[in-house]
Amino acid sequence: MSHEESVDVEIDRSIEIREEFDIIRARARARVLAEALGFGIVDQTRIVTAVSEIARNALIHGGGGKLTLSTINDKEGLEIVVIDQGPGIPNVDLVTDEGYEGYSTSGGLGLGLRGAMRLMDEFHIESKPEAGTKVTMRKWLASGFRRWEG
Amino acid sequence: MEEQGRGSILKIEDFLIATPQQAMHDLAAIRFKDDLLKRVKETGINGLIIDLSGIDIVDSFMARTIGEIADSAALLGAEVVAIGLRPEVAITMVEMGVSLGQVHTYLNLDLALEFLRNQRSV
Repeated sequence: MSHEESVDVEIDRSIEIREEFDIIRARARARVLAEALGFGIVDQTRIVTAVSEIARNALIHGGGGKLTLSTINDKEGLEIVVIDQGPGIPNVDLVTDEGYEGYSTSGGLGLGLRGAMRLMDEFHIESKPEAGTKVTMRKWLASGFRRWEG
Repeated sequence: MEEQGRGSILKIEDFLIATPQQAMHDLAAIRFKDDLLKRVKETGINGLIIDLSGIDIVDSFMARTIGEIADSAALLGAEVVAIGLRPEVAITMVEMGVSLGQVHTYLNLDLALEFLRNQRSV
């Protein structure tokens, strides 16, 4: 954990997602950490939007969960892990498939997941029926080509 | 915490200008939508301007809520225009593949008012 000390922000990087306001809290802390790491405003927006989608999924579909923010290798990027102990997603490959549009109950589990996938550089999801869901996503500071940064 | 304000709704000419607050959680967004549609009905206005300049992210839920406001307001006879969308929010929405439904978008209030006045005089 010592390598994280070089990013000088005093925030609790672990957030319990139990109610709607926790999603706002997770968004605000992801914003603070992303900004401190040096992400531009567009990447900050991508990260915070992805956090909002995944935290909401954990709350609505997973019955709540835990979101953890961390820096990767000192200051190379930002990692977000969201774990819930909900019913799991039985057909996770189908839900994350770009061509699939049928899984949309409470505002679209699939829409939120696929949106977050598109906004982040890396996105992994593990889910088993009755065992919950774990989403790991990363954004790198120097990600390939530089997109427009206002 | 729940009642810290969901944004303001102002009337100008025969239009409403709604400004949602920055960090609105989902239930607050739904209440904002309900308040707004009630005001549209009560005031009988024919144009609704939603000022998104204070909104730092539009995720799939927020986009859907704004789209629903527009669709419902249209059924009540009001034209809906969104203004002030931040560039980084627009970029993120396009990348995610979300849209605001049938909402017209304008860069600023002047252009939105001009559009609505023209609509009215047609």
